[in-house]
Amino acid sequence: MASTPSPRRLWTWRSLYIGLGLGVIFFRILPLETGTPGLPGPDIILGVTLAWVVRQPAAVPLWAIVFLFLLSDFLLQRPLGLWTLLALLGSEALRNRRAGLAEAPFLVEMAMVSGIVLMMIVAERVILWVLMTDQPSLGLVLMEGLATIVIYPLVVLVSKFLLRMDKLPLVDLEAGLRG
Amino acid sequence: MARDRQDNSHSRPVRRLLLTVLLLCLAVLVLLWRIDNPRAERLRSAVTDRIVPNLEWVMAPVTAFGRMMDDFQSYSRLYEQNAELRRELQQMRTWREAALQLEQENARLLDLNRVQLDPELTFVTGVVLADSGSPFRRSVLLNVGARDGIIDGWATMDGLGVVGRISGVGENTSRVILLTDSNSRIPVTVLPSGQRALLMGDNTGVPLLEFLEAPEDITASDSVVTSGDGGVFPPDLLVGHVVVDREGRLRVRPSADFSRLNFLRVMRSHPGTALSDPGGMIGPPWPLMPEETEADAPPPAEEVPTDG
Repeated sequence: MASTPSPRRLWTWRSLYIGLGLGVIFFRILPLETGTPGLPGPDIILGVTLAWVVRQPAAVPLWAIVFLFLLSDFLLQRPLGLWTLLALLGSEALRNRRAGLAEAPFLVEMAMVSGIVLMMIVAERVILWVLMTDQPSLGLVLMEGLATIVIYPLVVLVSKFLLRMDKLPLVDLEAGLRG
Repeated sequence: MARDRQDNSHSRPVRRLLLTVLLLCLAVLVLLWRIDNPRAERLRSAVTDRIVPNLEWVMAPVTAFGRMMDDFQSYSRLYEQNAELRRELQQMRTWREAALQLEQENARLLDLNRVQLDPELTFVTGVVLADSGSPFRRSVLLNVGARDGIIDGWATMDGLGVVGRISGVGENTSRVILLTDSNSRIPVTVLPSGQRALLMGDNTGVPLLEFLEAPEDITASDSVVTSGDGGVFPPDLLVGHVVVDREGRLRVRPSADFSRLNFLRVMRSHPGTALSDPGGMIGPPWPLMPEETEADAPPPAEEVPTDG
């Protein structure tokens, strides 16, 4: 468990990541709730990305993040590239701080992830404001961010016990930075 | 392990460079989206056009299953619904009689007056493929596009009322911005009083009615139709009925059933001829300037009988 995962495992995780992301996008564009504006759900792709970056960064390579987020920017009517840019920055910030998180308790990780999600939301609003575009209401956006934070422990539980994805110990951190 | 670390030593700067390039590209994409928005949106509809129709074979059964589940939930109220429908049907029968009589009367009167009506609106019917997938946008994707002659800006209806307008046409798909989207603005007329207003979507189920001249003249359940102002929409399509919200603002409950958008009609509209110049078609400009009329226009005696 303590060593870097075998290439086969790595590619299983990567394909799982891409498949999961595509599935989420697919279910979101199904025309089931066209009328009633419901409460915004969590951004599951973001949650999974951040959780896996902490645990097995090689499972979420840059190209996969860019691919999934850019595709959802295109298909989900978001400003093109903006959320991808922020997700990339957020996941890189987390990737660079993994050394501190490897031995830290879960609450610290949770706090850091919440901070990153909120920062992404604030940055998105600031950028949209600077670009002078109209914005969705702050309440809805915050609710989406909060939902993402709330499901984060769930994502971690699933990846830890169902997918057997453990945090890389400190020794392997350097190797884990690849990808 | 050792090999990994060796790889690492020279792959890290490369990775950093790659990351910088990616971030720059994305920033450029955002700026492009902002600066040349129509082009970026065309790019978006081209991407959607490439991807979504290919997914139809998976989406159709899943969507059908989801709708069946919804229907199944409503089975529990089957008895009440049946009674309700019977009652409504009874009422509709009387209305149908009235409508038929009125239609005949209307036809007679039009005949007496020799009124020239608008050419009949024709429509293209499309099936809803996908929705916006975002909680902040209200739009659906139809399976008809430029191939079927769809043009940006055309009105879209379900069987009864206006649903929205086409915004973004791909080769095989087109996107309909719903009335409820926060970017939707539609010129409407509130009927008994005939006041013009703007219907502004605000991401709720009941869009706001704004820029009314005399809001006090309007009561709940007044009907709202498109006004055709600005040449965006054909006039007199039913939109919905006025409701008053808790804060006393006027809103419109759409007649279209937004929770079950399945088949939509895209109304082919031809822009009407604009009357830019008042004279000419009726007679010579008036008052007549003696020297100008002789120089510009043919003598009025000839023009009046041909045009008027």
